[in-house]
Amino acid sequence: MPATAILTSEQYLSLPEEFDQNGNRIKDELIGGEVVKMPPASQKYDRIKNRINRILNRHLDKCPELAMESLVEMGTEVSRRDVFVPEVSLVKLDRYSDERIFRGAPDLAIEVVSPSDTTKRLKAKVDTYLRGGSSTVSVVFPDSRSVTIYSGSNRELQGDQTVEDPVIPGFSTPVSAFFE
Amino acid sequence: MPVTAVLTSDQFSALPDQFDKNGNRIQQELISGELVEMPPSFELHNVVKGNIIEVLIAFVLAHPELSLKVLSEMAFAVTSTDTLVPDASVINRSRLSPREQKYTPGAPELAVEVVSPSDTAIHLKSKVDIYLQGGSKTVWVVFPESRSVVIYSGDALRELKGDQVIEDTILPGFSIPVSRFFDLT
Repeated sequence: MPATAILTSEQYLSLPEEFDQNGNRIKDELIGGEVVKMPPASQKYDRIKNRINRILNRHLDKCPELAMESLVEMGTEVSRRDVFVPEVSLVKLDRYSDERIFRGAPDLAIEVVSPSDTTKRLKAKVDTYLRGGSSTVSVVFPDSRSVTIYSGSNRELQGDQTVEDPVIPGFSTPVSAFFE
Repeated sequence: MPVTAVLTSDQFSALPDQFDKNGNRIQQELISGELVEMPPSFELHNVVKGNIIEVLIAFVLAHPELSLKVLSEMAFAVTSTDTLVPDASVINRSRLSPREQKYTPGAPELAVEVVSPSDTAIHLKSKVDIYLQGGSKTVWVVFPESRSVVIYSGDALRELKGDQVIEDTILPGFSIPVSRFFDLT
């Protein structure tokens, strides 16, 4: 088996951007020190990500007192060995900066699972977010139209079951709204 | 995009066995009608699986009144388009009968899946859903590298590690610290 270099987040962030033959930036993440390439997203995946972001932003706009902002596909340095790109993340406004990388675990991280994601890596990401300080990690499965919520008590939600979260008080939506 | 054949469990059971160049049988599963190959497993995976089967068998033998059977790599035709092969499973003895078919119909009472590095999250989640919707009371998903077990039942999931004890209503009296599964000595 070929050896995979283990990098720190600093080494990873110093790597040059790579581009494919069409000139598109090749996206990757650093998971446990290992660089993992992300395949280009499908339209279905993209729509779900955008829908979730719209639904969350509607709530954040209605409740400016929450003082939170959403980030979409922002490189996030969760630890010295982990730089993830959550599809959507919510962070308190006072953590917001001009940097191109978000430092630290977001208050709420949302990962939309793609066909190439392995269980092992997905679990590593969830554990790393939670250890890093995220209050909640929501894992969205497009094909089964369900969301698994990792926080104090872990639950899987489908259909009309509602998504609520102490990180965003007052927010309440049926899971199915993510997938319409 | 290449066309993937969609098969029923019956068609799947009629497929001839396939072998790799070393002569090992290539194990496959059928998930939502799609053939999914199970890659050959690593030593760690096999040792952990062996540990789990050992403790389950010890328990089942000590409690004959429960009338349970422990199976390893038995194929379960859970639905007409899903045939799964859990690393270990526990079923009621009443479900055993001499059959010519290769596969047991329905879902096991308890299914155990030991995660391999190449297992995709979507396939594993599909399998957990298929087991639970098919009638399994509990699914244990075992992560050898992080030495933890995630227990799925109903719509809840719990993670156990280290000295935390794993118990199950299907196995009354069964009580084993999770670390025992990952004993490599």
